[in-house]
Amino acid sequence: MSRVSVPCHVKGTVALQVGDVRTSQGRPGVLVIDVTFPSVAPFELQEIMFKNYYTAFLTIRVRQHTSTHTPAKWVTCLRDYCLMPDPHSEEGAQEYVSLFKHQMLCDMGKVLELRLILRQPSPLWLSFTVEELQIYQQGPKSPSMTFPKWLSHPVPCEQPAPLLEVSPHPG
Amino acid sequence: MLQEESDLALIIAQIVQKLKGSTLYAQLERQAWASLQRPEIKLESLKEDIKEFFKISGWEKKLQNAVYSELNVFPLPSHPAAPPEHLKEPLVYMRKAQGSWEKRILKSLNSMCTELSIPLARKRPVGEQKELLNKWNEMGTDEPDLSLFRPVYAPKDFLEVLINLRNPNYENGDSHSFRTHLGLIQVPLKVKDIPELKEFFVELGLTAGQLGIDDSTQVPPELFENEHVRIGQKVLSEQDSAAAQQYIRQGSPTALRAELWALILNTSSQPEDVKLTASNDDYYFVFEDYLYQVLLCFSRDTSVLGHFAYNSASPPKSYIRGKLGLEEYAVFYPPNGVIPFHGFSMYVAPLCFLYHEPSKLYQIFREMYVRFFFRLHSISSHPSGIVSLCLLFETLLQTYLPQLFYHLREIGAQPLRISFKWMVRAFSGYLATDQLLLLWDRILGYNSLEILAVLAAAVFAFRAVNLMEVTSLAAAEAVLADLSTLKVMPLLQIFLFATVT
Repeated sequence: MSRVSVPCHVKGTVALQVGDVRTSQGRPGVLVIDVTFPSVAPFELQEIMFKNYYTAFLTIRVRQHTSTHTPAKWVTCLRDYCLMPDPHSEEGAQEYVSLFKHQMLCDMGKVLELRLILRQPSPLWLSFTVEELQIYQQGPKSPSMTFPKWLSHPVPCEQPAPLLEVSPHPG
Repeated sequence: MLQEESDLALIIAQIVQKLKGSTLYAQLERQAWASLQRPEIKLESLKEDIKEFFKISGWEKKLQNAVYSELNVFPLPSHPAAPPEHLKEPLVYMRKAQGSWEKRILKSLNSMCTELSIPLARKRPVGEQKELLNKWNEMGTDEPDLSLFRPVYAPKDFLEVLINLRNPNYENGDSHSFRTHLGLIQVPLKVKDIPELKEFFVELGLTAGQLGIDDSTQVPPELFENEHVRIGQKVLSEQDSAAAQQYIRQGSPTALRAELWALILNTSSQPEDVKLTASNDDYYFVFEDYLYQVLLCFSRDTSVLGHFAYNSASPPKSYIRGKLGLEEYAVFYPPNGVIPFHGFSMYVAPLCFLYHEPSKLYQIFREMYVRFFFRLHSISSHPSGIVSLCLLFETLLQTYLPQLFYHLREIGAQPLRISFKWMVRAFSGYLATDQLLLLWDRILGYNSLEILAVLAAAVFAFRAVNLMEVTSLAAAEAVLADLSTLKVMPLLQIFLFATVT
């Protein structure tokens, strides 16, 4: 199925840290990235694609359009998805990742906003983020192509098995 | 699950694509056409009958072997958005380091050529061609004056590059944290620990028979050896690559080794059009000749360029004079893209004991190179790459022989400085040949070079008592200078399965 990229606006990352960012020791282990879609109506999300950069765990929250007048709430659609099996080592650190709608915990029918929560518990890395973020919605269905029958596997013409004469059971 | 299904479809599509260009595909097509003459092939059930015919005639097995070979050699298809360099090496800083290293080698090569006024690539003049053909079988004894040529680089130069490898996003500060690397390698690659190695190398365990241990003279052959040889013969008669790879984990009988390696590496039985005049001189052959022949042909074999798709290295390119940057005028030098280093011929030498037919010897060496040996001299994050092997060795030593590690470090004898040359040459030239071949059996069987790092650590463990008494790097080198009496399988078994941790 085809997919269409949705233009998005990625807000700057916000580090979540207890205390003053400037004076406290150590590096933040949690970052939040907000993704908005200013010029697009609420859409059905098909795929999220990005290049990882040393993020160990990813949580995604989504805010969807509701038909009623209740304000839209944030719902977690992906919880602690593991990108690096060992946060202290390089495995998975710079991989390309795709997340599909069937992996999400909730329906992604009318997406308004996304919030990516990145976690990296290891103090060994100087920074972490996700790069080249792309959001896709379902593209127009391609016109069905009719293939000539012989191109796909020719099903052998099955002769129905000759019915055996079954002699009726006596009695 | 949807994702797994589409992954599988992608892998199948990739393998089909690869095999379409091979001779096997052409052969299968020919066989299928020829089989139409056979009485048992009926038009109504054409597909099923031809499949049955392939199964009986052994062609299905050949196809299975080819698919298995592809799965072993080529990495799984990565994410569709990943560029080709990501497939060669996913970590950006390693790609950069490999690029810088290549530039250095090329610069060294170019300056050597300028110094000696030798052009890098020129066509051999006719007179020289004739002379070469005549002298083809004696090249070892009548070599040109190579005294002015220096090797392009030595393993210890490469080690210095690896020692200086740094991840710019990693905490490399002076403060010692819980993850400070006490060894020479400073990059945090994932390496297996002993419990994981025990699982990975389960067939080397104490309860399984091994060639290299259970075929010694004191052990009656009925216990293990006879049955193992019988199974080996059966595997060969079935011509099954996957079975052979599993079988060889317990070692290969000497008589069956040549055929088993050829089956595992899936080299074709047809002699290739390699320009080796196989004058099978019955009374005398000198390995030197074979080495020259093989290496000369290897350097000109452009099919080797294919492995650069999954090798972090790239072949050095130069342009015809005046056409810099134009791809049609780009020339790979050497034609196979591989610049050899000091000791490179040691990869070929042990194979000379197994294969006497030059064409076969060449095919086996080329397969071994594009599957394994290239990883020993390029910078990558692959678990069998030399960086991971070095880190695995150092980690094993630190974790399981901490006193020895600390002592050697204190006297200025970092263990990797001694073991690096063993691993880079896959122990060729350091072990006795029969022991080396037993070790290379396992490399093929497990499709991994990690065993080299484990053996290096096992050697240190074996000589630990002597090493604790030395007080200098030179003395440590002396203790570990002679490995020719070592038996590799007992060392590996004891280190992995019988050491109290």
